[in-house]
Amino acid sequence: MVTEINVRSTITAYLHQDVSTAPLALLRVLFGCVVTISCIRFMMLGWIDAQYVKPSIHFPYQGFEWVVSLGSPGMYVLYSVMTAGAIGIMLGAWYRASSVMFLLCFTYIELIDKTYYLNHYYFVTLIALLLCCAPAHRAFSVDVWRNPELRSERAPRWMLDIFKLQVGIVYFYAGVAKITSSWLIDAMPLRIWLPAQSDVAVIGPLMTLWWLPWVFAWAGMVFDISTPFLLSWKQTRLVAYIAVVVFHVITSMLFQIGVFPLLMIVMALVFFSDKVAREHDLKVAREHALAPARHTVAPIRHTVAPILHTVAREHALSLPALIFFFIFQILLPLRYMLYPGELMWTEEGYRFSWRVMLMEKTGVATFTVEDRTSGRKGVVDNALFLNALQERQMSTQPDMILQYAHFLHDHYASAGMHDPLVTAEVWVTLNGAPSALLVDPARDLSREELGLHRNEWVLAR
Amino acid sequence: MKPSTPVFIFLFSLITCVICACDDSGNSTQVDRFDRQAMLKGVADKLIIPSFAELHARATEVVEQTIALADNSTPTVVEIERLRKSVSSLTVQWQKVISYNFGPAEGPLGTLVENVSTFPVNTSAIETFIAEGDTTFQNFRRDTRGLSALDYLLFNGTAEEVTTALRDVVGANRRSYVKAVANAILVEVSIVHSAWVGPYRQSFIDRSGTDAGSSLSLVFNHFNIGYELLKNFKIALPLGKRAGQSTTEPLRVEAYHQATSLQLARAQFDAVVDLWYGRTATGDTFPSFRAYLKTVAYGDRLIADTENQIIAVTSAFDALGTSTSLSVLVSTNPGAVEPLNTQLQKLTRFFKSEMSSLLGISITYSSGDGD
Repeated sequence: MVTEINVRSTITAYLHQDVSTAPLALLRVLFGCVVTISCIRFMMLGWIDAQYVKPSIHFPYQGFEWVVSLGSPGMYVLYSVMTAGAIGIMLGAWYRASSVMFLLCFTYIELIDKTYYLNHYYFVTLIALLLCCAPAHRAFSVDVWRNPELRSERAPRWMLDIFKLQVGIVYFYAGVAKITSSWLIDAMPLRIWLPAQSDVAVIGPLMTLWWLPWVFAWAGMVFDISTPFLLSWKQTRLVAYIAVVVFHVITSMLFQIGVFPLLMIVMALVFFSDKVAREHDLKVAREHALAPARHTVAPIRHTVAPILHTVAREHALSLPALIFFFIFQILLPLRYMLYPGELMWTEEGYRFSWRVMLMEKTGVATFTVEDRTSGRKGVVDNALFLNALQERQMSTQPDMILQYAHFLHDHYASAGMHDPLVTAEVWVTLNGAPSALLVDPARDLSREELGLHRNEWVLAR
Repeated sequence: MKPSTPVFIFLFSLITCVICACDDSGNSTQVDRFDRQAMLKGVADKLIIPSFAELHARATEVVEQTIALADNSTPTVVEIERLRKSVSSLTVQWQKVISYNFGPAEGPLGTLVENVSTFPVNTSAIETFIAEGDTTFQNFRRDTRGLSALDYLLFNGTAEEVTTALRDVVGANRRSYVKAVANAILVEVSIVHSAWVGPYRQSFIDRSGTDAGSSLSLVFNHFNIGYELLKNFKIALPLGKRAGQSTTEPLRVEAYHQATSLQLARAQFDAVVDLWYGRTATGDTFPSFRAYLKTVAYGDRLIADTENQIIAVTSAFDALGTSTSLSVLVSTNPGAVEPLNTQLQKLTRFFKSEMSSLLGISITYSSGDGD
C-alpha cells in the first residue's frame, strides 16, 4: 500500500515538474528548419513529378486506399501547403494550424504509396504529431510576438520527455534489430556496402579495410542500443552526442539517406534540455534580480510554478492518449513475432519497426497473366506501369507483389482478358545469398487477399 | 564491475567474432581491390569508343553510297547490292552500342536507340512521306526512319526489284528518302561519337563511385536495359510472349526484310557478354564486371552461376541455327524458340538483381533516398 502511494506520488510529482519552454522551442525551430529543407529539396529534385505525378499506379497502405495522388497541380499545391506548414512550425507562426497542416499533408503524402516508405519519414510523422500537442510556440515564436500573453517560461517536463522517449525508441529498436548473426557475424550487408564506397572523399580509402565491416556492424549495434541511455545520463551526454554527430555524418557520406542524419543530429539535442532549462532559469533569475547563483534557482521555480502550471493543465487531457501512443510505439516494432518465417525475407511486420539500413535485398519479378478461358498467357512488362523505384521495391516485398498482381488482374480484365489468372516468378537475393523464389510461382495471386494474416503464398527461404 | 570491464568484453567479443567470421568464409583476404576507374577506362577505350568509331565509319560509308544513289537515276543492281551489304554491316555493328545508350546518347529528342533502331517499321507512313517528297523528319514518327527504314527500303524484295523501285524519276523521292534516312543515322551517331572522343570520356572515367548517377551505375543500368531489350523485344515479342498478345507476331522482329533477326540478337547478346567479361572481339581484355565480382563477397558463386547460364543461352542460340529466320521460326515452329526465351529469362536475375546486390551498385537513378 505504501509502495503504491509512493509510486503514485512519484508519478504525480513528475507530472507536476516544470522545465523551461526554451528547449521545446529550440526543438520546434530546428525540426521546422529540417523539414522545410526536406520539402524544398524534394520539390527541387523533381521528385513530386517522378514519385507522385508520373506513375500510373500507386501502392497504398491497407485501409488507406482512399488516399490517392492528387496529380498535377494537386500534388504541387499539397507540397506547397506542407512547406508553408513546415515554415510555420519553424517560425512558430500560427503554430497550431501550421503543425496540424504539416502533419496532415505529410501523412497524406506518405500514405499514397508505400514504395517511398522510409523510417525517417515515419519518424517525422511521429515528431510532427507530438509537436502538435506540445506548447512549443510559447517562446521564440512569431505567435508570442503577435500575442505576448501567449509567452510562457515553463512547460511540463513530460512534454519534453516524450520527445526524448520517441528518439530513444528509434535508436534502441534500431540497435536491437542489428542483433542478428547476419549483421554481427557475417557483417552483411556492410561487407557489400562499404567496399562499394571506396571512392567517397576522405574516408573512402578506409572502406576497403577488410575488418571494417565488422567494426561498423558491432559499433553500429552498440551505438544504437546505448545512445538513448548515454544521452540521458548527464556524465556521458556530451560524448554520446559527439558520437551521434560522427555516426550520422559518416553515414550521410556513405549512403544516400537524405535529411535523415541531419534530423537525428537535431533531434538528439533534446537530451540537452536539462542544461538548457537550467541556463534559462539562471537567465530568468538574473532578470528578476533575485540571485545569480545556480543554487538559488530552486526557490524561483517554486515561485513561478503555480502561475505557469496552466500550461500543464491545458494539456492534461492528452496524457492518456500519449501513454497509449507510447505503448503502441513500443509494441508495434515487435509485431513481427506474430508471424512465422524469417522477417527480412517475408517482411511481415517489417515496416514501422526502425529496421534501418539492415539488408541488401533486390529481386526480379516476372508476372504472367493468363486468360482463364482461352489459356492464352503473356509476360508483363513492368516498366509499362511502374517507375524504377516502384519496380525495385515491389520486387522484394510480398504485400506490394500482391497489390500489383491485383492491379494487373483488373487492368488486363478491362483490356479484354477473361478474369486473368496472375502468377509471379519472383527471384530475390538477400544479403548476397543466391536468389530464391519469394512467392509460390504456381499460385494465382489474383485470388489471394491482402491482409494482416500470414501470407501462405510467400515461400520460405 | 569496473568501467573498463564492459569495454573489454565488447572488444573481446568483437575480435572473436571477426576471427570466426573470417575462418567460416575462408576469404579473409577478400577486400575491394578492384580499380573501378580502370574498368571505366577499359569500357570507354576498348569497347565504347572503338564501337562508336566503327559504327561511325560504317554509317559514313552508307551515307556516301546513298548520296551517290540520290544523284543517280539509273542505279545498278551491283550498286544496290553493295549498299545493302553496307547497311547489313552497319546493322550488325549497331548491336555493339545498344548497351551504351547513356550520356551523349540521351538527346533532347530521344535517345540514340529510340532514334536509330525503333522497330517494327511503319511502311505506310514511309510511303506517304516518299510520295509527298517529305524528308525533313520534323515529326516524332521514329518508326519511319532509322535502320528499320533502311531495312524496308533496301531489302523489301530482290535486289532487282529494289533497284527498279529506286530508278528514274519515279524513284527520285525514294532515293532522296534513303539518303535522308542514312544521313539522319549518321548525324545521330556522329553526335555521340564526337562526345566520346571529346570531353565526355574523361568525365565518364572520373565518376568512379557506385552511387546513382555514377558511371558504373550508368554502365550497369544500360547493360541491363540493353539486355532486357534483347530479351523482351527481340525474342519474347515476336514469340507472342508479352501480356496482351494473342498470338505470335512474326512481323515484329528487327531487320525483318533482311531476315537476320536471330543473328542480330546473337550479336547483341555477344556484345553484352563481352562487356560482362571485359573483352573485345580481337581478344583484348580489361577488368569489367566479372573481374569486379572476383573481388567481392560471394562473387565467385555468382560468376559460376552466370557463366553456366551464359553457356545455356549460347546453346539455345546455337540450337536455332541461322538457316531459318526468326520470323519464319515463330510462325512455323514457335516451340523451337521457347528454350531461348526461357534461358534468357533465367539469366536476368544474375545480371540484374544479384550483380547489383553484390557490387553495391544503385540500380535506380536518383528518384529517392533510402534509410
